[in-house]
Amino acid sequence: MRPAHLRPLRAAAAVAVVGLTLTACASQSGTTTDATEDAATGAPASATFPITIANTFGETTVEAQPERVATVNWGNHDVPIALGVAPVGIQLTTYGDDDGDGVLPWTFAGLEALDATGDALPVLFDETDGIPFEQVANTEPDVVLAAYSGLTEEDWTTLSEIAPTVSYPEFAWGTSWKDMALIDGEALGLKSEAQALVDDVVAQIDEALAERPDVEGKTVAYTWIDPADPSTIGVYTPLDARVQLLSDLGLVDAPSVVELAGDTDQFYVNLSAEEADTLADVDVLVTYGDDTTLETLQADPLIGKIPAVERGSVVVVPNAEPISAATSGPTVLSIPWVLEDYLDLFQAAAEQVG
Amino acid sequence: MTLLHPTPTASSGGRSASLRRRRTVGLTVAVAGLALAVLASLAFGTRVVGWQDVVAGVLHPDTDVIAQAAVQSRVARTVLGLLVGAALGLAGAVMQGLTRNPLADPLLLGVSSGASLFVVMGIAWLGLSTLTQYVWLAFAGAAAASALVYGIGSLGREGATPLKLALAGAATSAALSSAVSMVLLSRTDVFDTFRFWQVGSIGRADLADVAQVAPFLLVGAVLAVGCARGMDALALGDELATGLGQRTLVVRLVGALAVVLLCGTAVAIAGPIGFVGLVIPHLARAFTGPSHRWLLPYSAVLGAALLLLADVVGRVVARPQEIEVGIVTAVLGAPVFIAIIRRRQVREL
Repeated sequence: MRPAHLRPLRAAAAVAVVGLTLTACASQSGTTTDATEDAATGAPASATFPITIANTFGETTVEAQPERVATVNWGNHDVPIALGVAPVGIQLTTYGDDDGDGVLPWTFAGLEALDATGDALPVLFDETDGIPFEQVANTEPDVVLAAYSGLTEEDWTTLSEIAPTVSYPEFAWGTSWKDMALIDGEALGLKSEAQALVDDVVAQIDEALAERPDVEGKTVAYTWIDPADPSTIGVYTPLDARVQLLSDLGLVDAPSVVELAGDTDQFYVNLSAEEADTLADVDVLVTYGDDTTLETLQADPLIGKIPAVERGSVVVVPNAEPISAATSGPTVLSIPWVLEDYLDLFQAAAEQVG
Repeated sequence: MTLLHPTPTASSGGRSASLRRRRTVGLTVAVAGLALAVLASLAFGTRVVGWQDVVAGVLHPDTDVIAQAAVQSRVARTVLGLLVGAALGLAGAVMQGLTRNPLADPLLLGVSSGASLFVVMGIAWLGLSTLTQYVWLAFAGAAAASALVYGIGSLGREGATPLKLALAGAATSAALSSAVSMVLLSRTDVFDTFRFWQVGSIGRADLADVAQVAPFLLVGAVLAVGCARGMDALALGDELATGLGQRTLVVRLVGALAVVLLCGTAVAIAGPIGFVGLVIPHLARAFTGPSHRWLLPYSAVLGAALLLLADVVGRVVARPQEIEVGIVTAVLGAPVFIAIIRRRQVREL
């Protein structure tokens, strides 16, 4: 299961932001129109098939340009959508959904741009207690995309019997948004288009960073603290996609976090609150919460000892807001959607650093 | 039934002097063990703290020093561990006495699972959030589960035999635990916050919370001790107990109320923790014999000591992480329990 720190998103998506995303999508699909049309007519696209992609469990060979694309697990669907391919089946989003339709706002906007909403909406796989393999098989996919996922070897083997399945290269939930785009895109024969997409997002990030001079170079720890049990601090490791996004935003993993993570292959490690001062070298602490979170953390006798908490250089990613879903499992569609708001939070926290 | 503990007649006659000595020595050992456990719980944690900071942290902490703040946070945790451990030890002893079932344990007989299920449902669907609300939910869940298990276990001609109760309890417990998972899976957003209700932890201790639940535990403990004599009589069988003037139904009801109060409160504040209630009465009986007037206080003392030690182990073995105490008691408790059962079989078969 995806880490449970993605809270339900009740807040309606701001209309203006959706509008921006639509524009962005339109221009992105514009750049990939040729490839998509090729795919529709079955003519060779920008890559020659068969394509073989190695993953942590073995090799996946896609014999021909896939037309029916299914995606499982968090966020993978955003890649084909951004590349102009409407999937036949995608994960049902149970948290992070603003309007109860099971699709996140930026994904929905992307599908809308491809005329894939309403009756044409992809099948939504309910993965709450595991991947519904039968439902996936019923969509008769040519390929299953899951470059960013927590598939087990058994999941991968079962899915591979349905269609060639693209899994993560090395670590469960440890694929960056860039690699997710490139690997999922490669399986569609659209690797160079995916690269163009990534470059475009990076350019948007650079532009947004230029307006927020304090963010660059600050050390950071991305944490999860359960308000009901503050005796443990959950720390996301540098393997985690949300942490990798911070690196892309110019922030630096604090040395203490790197040391804490050691050579784990997990995206998450726990730190006892008794050792809270381990995080003394953190400039900006990131955590999930709401308006009361900073105050609660500062009042905690142990967690309040973390200098970043003490001085208030804390980014509280709002629970139950689209922003937490967009940044917890970042994708080529979610980053443009959330970038300005997210960086504003970091700029405000970074200004508190002495 | 080879697993049944010896009847009270085993302790009568010429062996009473040696039994008295055993009880006195045992009490000294148990209290000393508890004192050590309290010390260990204050002194050892994820953070290595010097003795000076331990003393200062307990007596007059300077909370600007993180070592002393850490010790200070262990005080609440230790008090909570004491109360929860004592409650579970007592509850286990009462359950074993009432049902005459050596396998009775709040977790095995479904009482803790019932309490957890109600708490989780209340949070997920009713939006409840305060400890007092959890406590009442837990009482309701514990009572409902006990009634269900006893009802199922009593079906059939021969009534509630230990074996049928154990089977009914195990089945109910499994079903209720699945129901907890079902509720949590339907609300993945609340999953992480409530994970401790699945494993049991005293890490979230806070002295205000402890003060809030202490009265419930006290009442539960008084009721439990109050039916000690009645349970001694029950051990002879219902007919003999009635003949001795015990109103068996009253003893069972008061005992059940004590179990609901003790387990419900423990679950509300710490989540379901297994094996303490199962193992501790067996350990205590080795010192006390079957008399409940001795067995109950022993079980409370030893239960508190075991839970604290398990919590210390959980804090120390996985530095800088912590392992929830419910996991440690299962890991430590299972082999101890197997050893107890094997020894008893060898002796009694």
